[in-house]
Amino acid sequence: MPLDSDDFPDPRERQRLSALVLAVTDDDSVRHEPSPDLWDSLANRIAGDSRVDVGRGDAIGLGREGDALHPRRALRRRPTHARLRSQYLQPHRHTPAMTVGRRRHVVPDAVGPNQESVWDYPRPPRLEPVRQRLQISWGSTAIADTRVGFRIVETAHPPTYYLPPGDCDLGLLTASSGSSFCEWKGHAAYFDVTVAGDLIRRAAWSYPDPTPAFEPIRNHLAFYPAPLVCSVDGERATPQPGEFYGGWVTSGVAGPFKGSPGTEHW
Amino acid sequence: MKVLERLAMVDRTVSLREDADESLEGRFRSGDESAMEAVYRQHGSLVYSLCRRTLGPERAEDTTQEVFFAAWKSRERYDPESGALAGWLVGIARFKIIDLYRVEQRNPLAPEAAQAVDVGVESAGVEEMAQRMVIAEALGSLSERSRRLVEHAFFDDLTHGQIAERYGMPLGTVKSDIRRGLQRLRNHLEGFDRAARF
Repeated sequence: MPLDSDDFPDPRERQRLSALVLAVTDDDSVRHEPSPDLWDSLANRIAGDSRVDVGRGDAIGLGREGDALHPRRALRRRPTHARLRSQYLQPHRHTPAMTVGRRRHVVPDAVGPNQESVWDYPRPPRLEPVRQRLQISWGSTAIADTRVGFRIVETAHPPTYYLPPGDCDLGLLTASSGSSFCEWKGHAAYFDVTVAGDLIRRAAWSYPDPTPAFEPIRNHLAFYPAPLVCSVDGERATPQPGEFYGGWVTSGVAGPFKGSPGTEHW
Repeated sequence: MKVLERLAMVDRTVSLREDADESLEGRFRSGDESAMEAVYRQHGSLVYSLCRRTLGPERAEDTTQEVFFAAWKSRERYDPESGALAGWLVGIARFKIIDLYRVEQRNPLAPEAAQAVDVGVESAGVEEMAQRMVIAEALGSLSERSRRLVEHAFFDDLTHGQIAERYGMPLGTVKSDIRRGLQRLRNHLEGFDRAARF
């Protein structure tokens, strides 16, 4: 090979590069385009990450703690379409950075007589049947009503509830674009809800093909407790702080919850 | 003279483009979401194409998303000075793909496991394919002329002098073109080598 030796001071590098260039096939230059949904979904995760992971650089070994709090950075976080949508997109986000072992200064709230602490919930998350009455509505229209739902509990999160499709008015639901992936539960599909001319985008999600551990909630529907009205035994649930998690906060759970201001280090 | 002017123009275009890339990479590194989108637009099809070849179309999109999300989370680990972003992203992708192969082999419930014959062999295949695609990407990013010169240097038994003669170009230009081309290839591979399991 007549390449000048001063092109390659390191003969091993020369060998490696030559071998690769000679091995390149036409297939290696073929480029496929991913679907446009991919960026939407990624943008949502990134927007959520910017909001939630403020200052948790220590947990991922970047040493960028506090960086995200810098005013210049805050200014850069303009509201984008993606970010506005993100509040209805991610029911649950599992990142290693949230592992409880990494948390600092978390003092669980006092637990009342009829309460359970989200700090006693496990991680990875656990699926449990629920015998309480779960209802979803919009205005005066009932969307779902069941006594045989499930809930998923996970450390630091208020429970997310899953309702059997047979007890939901599926005529009000239409498939929404995009999907997300949970390392424990699998791929989530999203649904818009249309009631009396109101369209609530990405108001519900489900796992059409869950991992074996979450098989019981196949095709079950989970709803965001805002803007829909979601209730447990008649008590209206409030959304988990941080807006884009799908957990339901009721008087039965004690926090603090992941997503509240100041929980960034968990 | 005309040729030299044209060469100077090409040089300027190339360096302008590299400046633009650098600032994009700088903005990516500092957490600018619009820069992240530009990075995705620029390199998404490269990463997706590798995932698609190794994992099939069904799983390629999710893995591509994981790659870019990992890149986003680890953006401060990327050093624009020492390696091209395209190489770095493909480097992350190959780890994700290899890890998926391993998980599938450990989990007998995964239907894909039946196809995964030997993870070691497959991983080596991914590693090599990823590097070839990085090189193909680097070659594709060169100007037509530089690319042809670099390929001559590798494939044919031509010295720099013979190439210069054949193309009627000054020897110095041939040398610097080839050097710049090689630098591009090297830079892409360095990016690849610097990627980690993010």
